Amino acid sequence: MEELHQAKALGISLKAFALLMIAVCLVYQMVTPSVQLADTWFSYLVGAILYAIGLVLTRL
Amino acid sequence: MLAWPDIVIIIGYFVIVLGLGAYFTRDIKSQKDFFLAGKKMPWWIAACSLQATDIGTETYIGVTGVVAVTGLAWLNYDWLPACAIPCIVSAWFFVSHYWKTGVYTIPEFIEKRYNRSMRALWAVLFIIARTLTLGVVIYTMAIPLSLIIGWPWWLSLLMTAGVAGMYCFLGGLTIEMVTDVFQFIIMTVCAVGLIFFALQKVGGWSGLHSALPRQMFHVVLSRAEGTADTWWAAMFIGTLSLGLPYWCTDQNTLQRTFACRSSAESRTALVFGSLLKYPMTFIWGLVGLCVAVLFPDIIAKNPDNAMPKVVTSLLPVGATGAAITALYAAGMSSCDSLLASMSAVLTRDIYQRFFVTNKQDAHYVWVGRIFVILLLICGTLFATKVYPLFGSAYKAWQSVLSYIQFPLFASLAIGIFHRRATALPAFIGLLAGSASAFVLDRFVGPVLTPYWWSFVWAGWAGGILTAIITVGGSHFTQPYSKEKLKGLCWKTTEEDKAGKPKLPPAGRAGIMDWRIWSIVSLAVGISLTLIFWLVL
Repeated sequence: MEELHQAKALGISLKAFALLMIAVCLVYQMVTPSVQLADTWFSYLVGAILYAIGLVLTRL
Repeated sequence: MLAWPDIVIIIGYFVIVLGLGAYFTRDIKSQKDFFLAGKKMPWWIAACSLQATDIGTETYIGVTGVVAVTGLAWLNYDWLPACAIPCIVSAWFFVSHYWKTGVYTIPEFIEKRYNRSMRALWAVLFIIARTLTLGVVIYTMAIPLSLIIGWPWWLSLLMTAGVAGMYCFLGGLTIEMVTDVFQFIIMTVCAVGLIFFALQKVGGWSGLHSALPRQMFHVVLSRAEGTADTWWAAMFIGTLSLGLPYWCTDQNTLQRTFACRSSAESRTALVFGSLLKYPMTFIWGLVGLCVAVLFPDIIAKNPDNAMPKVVTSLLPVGATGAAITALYAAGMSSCDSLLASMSAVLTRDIYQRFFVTNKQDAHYVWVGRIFVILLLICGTLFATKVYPLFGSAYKAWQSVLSYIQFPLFASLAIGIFHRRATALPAFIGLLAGSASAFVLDRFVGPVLTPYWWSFVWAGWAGGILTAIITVGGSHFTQPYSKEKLKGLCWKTTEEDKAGKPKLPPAGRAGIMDWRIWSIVSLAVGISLTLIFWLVL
């Protein structure tokens, strides 16, 4: 039970960090015309991977 | 200067970590909760936490720089000889004794095995050594990162040390271990991304391999190929004098294993953790090799600038923020473990043992919290006032510490494996071993054999002398009773004599069996060594 509690808190934190990362990059891309998807794709990928790990941890 | 999205990501990370700390505060009711996370930690959290603690900002910056100059041989400090083998030795021969006695700290075990004076000596040596280490961790975490981000150093210091101290104060070891896993995941994902971009720049693995001399990829070097610190004997025998004390007898490391739910889980955490270390440090080593190709001018000036240069020049916006967050995370996980272990030793081995003995648990929890704040202030003062003035003196002090570590390990190991060992010879042996290691390294070794000499041999010499004095001297003293030594020494309980260690619950035995993970870790370590010696 305790393990689930810790894993869930950890998973939620990771998801929050991943969403923050994706959202910030999205806003940056929208307000900066010179920035294209080709420049930020890797940041989205890192965000997505972190979100996926967070999702796994919350569902342990 | 960083772009604003990167700064927002870094600040967001600090807010999330503090939020986690605040969330776990509600679980803190006793000393066991504060210092040992209530002994409720699963092995996988402990394994990640152990490795996140071991990998600090100075590792990220230092390993990348040093590999760029000397090659992959330096990875032995984090691979088989200085990490995997000591972790396996600790899991098989040491951890079960700590568990049987139910101690919170290593000095507590020392008092049970020897006496009160030995406990006090260990506690004092630990606190002095680690306060200085804390100062350096804070310094290396705040100052170089302030250069990357462009913040004033005091703001960088306030953010990192302040946040680490705040969550330690709130949640004790529970939050430290949970945030360590959070930090470990971010570090790993960012490291993989970084190597992807770095390899792309140098033309992939084949481009890297053809651009550098062959010996840069070798982890086993002859003396002619390497230096006195990197040739095979120094790496595979000498570094054991650093790895064994760190993984078998250091409170800073072992406190994480005491927080597990059982002895079996703590052993699994240690051995599984050593497996996690291989890819983590290999990635940073590989980044170091890429830097040697991409930025040779930076390496020539200052190898420590290699890592910041890679992060800021190769990664896109957003990922840069995450990578810098990973650097902060590495520093904070080292900082929080120091705060936790030192506050535990100060509270239990000094305050509770010698000054205020009969108070409620809540009292000692608050004392532990106050020590966290005081230690943070001491560490920060050292980082800002003393280190810039006496940086070279600190380096000398670090060498002195290396003379103490292996004699400390020797006195504890002899205590466990030799029932006849007693306190007075161990005390004398510890002091004599440390002093002889110092004399040997400073005045004898470099003069007699300058070509071969490395400080790791001084540790060995000191440890062997400690063992000889402890074993020899103990035969002239009164032996301890069998009852006193029960559980403290090797094969002194019925379970030990039967040779059947307590196994984890059925159904999870496979994944949690430290013996299986030990074989896997050894096999991976030996394979990697052979590949980076004979194949590449």
